[in-house]
Amino acid sequence: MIDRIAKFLSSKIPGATCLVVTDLKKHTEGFSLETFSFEASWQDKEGEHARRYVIRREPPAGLLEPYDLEPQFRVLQALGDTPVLFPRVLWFEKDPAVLGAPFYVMEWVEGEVPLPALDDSGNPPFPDDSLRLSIARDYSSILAEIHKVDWRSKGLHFLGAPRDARDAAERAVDLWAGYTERGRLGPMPMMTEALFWLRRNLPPGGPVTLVHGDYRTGNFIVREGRIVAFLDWELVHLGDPMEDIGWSVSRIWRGQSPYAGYLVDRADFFRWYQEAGGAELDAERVRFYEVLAGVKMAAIMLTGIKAWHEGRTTDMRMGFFDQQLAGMYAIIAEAMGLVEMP
Amino acid sequence: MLLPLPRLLQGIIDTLERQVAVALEAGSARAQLYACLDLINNLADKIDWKREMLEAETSSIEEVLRASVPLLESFGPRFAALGRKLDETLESPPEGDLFERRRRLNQDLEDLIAAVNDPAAAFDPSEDRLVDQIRQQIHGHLRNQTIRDALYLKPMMLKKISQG
Repeated sequence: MIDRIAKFLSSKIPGATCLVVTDLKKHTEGFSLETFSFEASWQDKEGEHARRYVIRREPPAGLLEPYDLEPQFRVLQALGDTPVLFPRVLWFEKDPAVLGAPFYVMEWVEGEVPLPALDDSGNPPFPDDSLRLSIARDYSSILAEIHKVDWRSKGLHFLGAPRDARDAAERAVDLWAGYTERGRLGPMPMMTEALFWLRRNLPPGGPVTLVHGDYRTGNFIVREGRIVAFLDWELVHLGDPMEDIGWSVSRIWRGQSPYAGYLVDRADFFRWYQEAGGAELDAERVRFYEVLAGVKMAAIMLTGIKAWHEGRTTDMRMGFFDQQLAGMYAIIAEAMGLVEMP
Repeated sequence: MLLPLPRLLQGIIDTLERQVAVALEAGSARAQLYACLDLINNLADKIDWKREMLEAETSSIEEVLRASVPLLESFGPRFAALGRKLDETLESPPEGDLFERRRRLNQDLEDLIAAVNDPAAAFDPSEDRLVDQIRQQIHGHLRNQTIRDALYLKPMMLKKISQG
């Protein structure tokens, strides 16, 4: 793979000679796209250069199949002159002959990616309160910046523009109902009831914005107490901004913690998001999208379970979802008001 | 818990053989791994899901269906076929493969959920109360099943699964 990456980079960096790729690492943090990082060094007229890059490649089978990396690549290119923080994307390659599957290359951003989970000793990911609050403020304002992007002038219509927030909600329910059906391995009463609940409780019209689609702890890089980049734009689309809020505050990412994503108090999150110019908050819409968050995550898990069951992947991180699905159903049931969890 | 236990065990064996064994450098660790594989392989034909767990779920769904059949009759011919199907399931003896019986009952429950949510059913206001009664039965089961399943759920090892 190293040789093929070197050949690809040589064709992309003008005037590069003696290009060498070293320290290729496969990262396991993401459950969907394959992620590799590597060091590239080369020479040109200006001298010697060394950079670290990241490749994100479509997996052979996975949680969000069928894959198409091009929309997220185009969105990230279009966001170049906005205050939204993300790793700069450099090249997209559609031809599977180059590296076995379509991929794109982006810059490496130095820092840590805190996960929404306790460590082995039971410590939360943000044990220092002042650090947590600093990151939480960034987290709230970056989301507002994403939602403020003028997607029309950026030419992001290609993502599919809903008429209004109600249309966006219907599209979202249809999308995840489709994933649920494709992942079906048997009857799923909880999913069926939840999808009907969503259709019975569609929110009214409202503004349509750019939606990250996976905005949460685990998808940003922290350096020196600040968020320096938001990652994982696979689910970026145009929709109701409350979708990101509902996903972000979902029980999925907070476990037993009082904080959304182990990071931010819900009221603080809403206040800071609004102070940063975010969309108008609506508790009922947020609730709708909290139910959708559970359905979406369960549908993603079902897709993985099916791929694993059919032998299209031996990645046990897909197979283990078969047992964890019960936890996701509990989260859906809680969001619908059927159960109360501690 | 959608997959049969033998499929899960075979998957564990495949992953350990194809992804873990090949990456283990220490011979002592590989020896331990192969002993585990041998054990799982031999256990596979001798174990199954806990019967009490499946029975709790199947009897809970049976209660919902039993309570719903007379309510469905109140809607006239619209749900007659579904009512007969639920009756048939309830009358069939719960012997043999309990995992398969659970699947069949869950399918009936899903059909019931679809029926009371069918926009084409055009319920009149007097029928809304009946729909609510059925929905309450369904929600009662989903609530109890969620709690039952949660009791068996161990905390997810997300950090280790993500970072190795």
